[in-house]
Amino acid sequence: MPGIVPLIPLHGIASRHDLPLPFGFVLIGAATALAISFVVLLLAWRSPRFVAEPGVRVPRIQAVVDRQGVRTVARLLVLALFAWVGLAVTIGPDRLTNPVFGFVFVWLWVGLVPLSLIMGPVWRVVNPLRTLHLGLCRLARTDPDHGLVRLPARLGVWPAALSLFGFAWLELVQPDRTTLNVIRLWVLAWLVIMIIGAVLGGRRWIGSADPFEVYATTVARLSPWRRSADGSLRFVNPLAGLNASELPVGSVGVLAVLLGSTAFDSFANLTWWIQTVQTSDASPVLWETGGLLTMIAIVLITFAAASAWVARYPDRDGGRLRPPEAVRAMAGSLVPIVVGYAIAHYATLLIVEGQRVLVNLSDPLGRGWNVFATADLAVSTAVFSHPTAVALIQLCAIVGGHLLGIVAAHERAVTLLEPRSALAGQWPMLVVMVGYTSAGLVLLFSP
Amino acid sequence: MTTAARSAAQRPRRLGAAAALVVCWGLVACGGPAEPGPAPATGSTPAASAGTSAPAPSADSSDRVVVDITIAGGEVTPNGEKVDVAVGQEVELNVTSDVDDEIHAHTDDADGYALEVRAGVPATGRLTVSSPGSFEVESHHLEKIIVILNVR
Repeated sequence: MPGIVPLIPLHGIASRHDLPLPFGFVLIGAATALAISFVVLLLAWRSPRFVAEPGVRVPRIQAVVDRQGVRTVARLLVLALFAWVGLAVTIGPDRLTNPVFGFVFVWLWVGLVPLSLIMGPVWRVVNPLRTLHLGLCRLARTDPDHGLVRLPARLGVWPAALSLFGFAWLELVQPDRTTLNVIRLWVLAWLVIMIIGAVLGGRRWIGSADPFEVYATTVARLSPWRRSADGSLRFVNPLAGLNASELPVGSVGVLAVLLGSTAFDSFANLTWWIQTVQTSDASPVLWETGGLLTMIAIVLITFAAASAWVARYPDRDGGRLRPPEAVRAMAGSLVPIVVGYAIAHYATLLIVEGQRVLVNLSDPLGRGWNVFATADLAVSTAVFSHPTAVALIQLCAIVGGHLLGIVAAHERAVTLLEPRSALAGQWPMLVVMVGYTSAGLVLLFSP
Repeated sequence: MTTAARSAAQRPRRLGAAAALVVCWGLVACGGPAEPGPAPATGSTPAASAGTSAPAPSADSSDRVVVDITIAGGEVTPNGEKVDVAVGQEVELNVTSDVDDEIHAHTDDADGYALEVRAGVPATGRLTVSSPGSFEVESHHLEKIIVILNVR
């Protein structure tokens, strides 16, 4: 008679997911979001509150982070880490203990968010793609800023919206995504597209197309660090810093992909969706690709429409914004919401699976090595013993992201529009944001 | 003019504080009642396990949660439903399948449990989850989710 036997871990990172958010949390969160929105809309400031160049200079910190030696060492360390993981993906074992899986899906994808939030736009400095490209240019004695062609300015970060969609598809749809050959193919595609693109278009291509750098740089807009126009480093109120940054063309696409894909990650856990996909004759890949695209499209369309609404009203100079300008100007207010969603969805993954990456990195080839003396570390899963605390963090992240998003959108609206039109111009944005927040909470409730 | 400027500058600050208070109140208010007992029952009792002991959230952990599973014609029943389980409570899987299969319960960190099933031969397996979380029980060959165990 067959019984249940322990299972050797074969596939899937993080078999354990967070428990559904208690329904009371959903109600309280949605009600709070609604209340915040009304308070901001009805009672808040009517003229721009944040100055154009916020914060204070920090010359001592700047002297350290701008030192060429410091930058070179940081770049080489990150490059060495990637080379180490590259070793694992090239000749390591096809098992979950291969560090590449956790490195890509946890350290890189999830870890870049807190890193950029706390340390600012550091990834642009240490991005191994840039180091690699710089090395190639040094060898060929060419200028890294100039490639063979000139990239058009209107390209913005639209290529990154595409590459981020590619990553989201890998993370959420790709069958067998935690098998070595699949990951090899994606890593190779990423390297080839990024390096050849940089050779063709100069290193601006990396800032335009690398999903990790663009994600990190976007999140860093909400960090307390900011470079002013004259290049000086400033310590700022993150909201003021966000308001002072001009997001590149295409940022709305990047943010829609980020928010839509995180939402789909939760959406795919609804019983209704699982049943629909599992009883359908169409392939799950088709369903999931469609679901992912639909979520992204919903965010893109609702946010663009609410932003374009702002352009209906006279601006401070008595003119009118063009709708695309309005969309670009408002895009920054999505950043806190994206960050809130990311924290709510992936905090426990980073805390627990992040440790496992550290363990696995000591033995990339599965030969019993203990290079960094981390191979015997015990992975602490203590965070799972506190489901109420986890739920509270999720609630705080979603509602906090909403609060910051609403304030950022309001500030932008009163900056752009003449005072009497500011309210009329921004209410659809508030409605859309309350929608994102409530949807995020309901999806975490996961009926 | 200076007073107007000052009050204009102060107002948002007070509002920010008010908003922060609203958030905190919200969190405290819902953090309170949710704390003592297990969270309110949110998942559903799968139809397939009707007749077995319903996994009430306050169930004594000696009560067993029974999940009757049928695999037929490439379909799984239950089909992706949520089942509430208490920490330490035993879960019994009763499986009947028209093909050979393996039922995987992805519990406890990266490990989990596997139950081998032969075509036409009812199989029973029991497992216990020792810490809270949400875990999938799936048919390994069909790659379909049978139930999701919400362990509180």
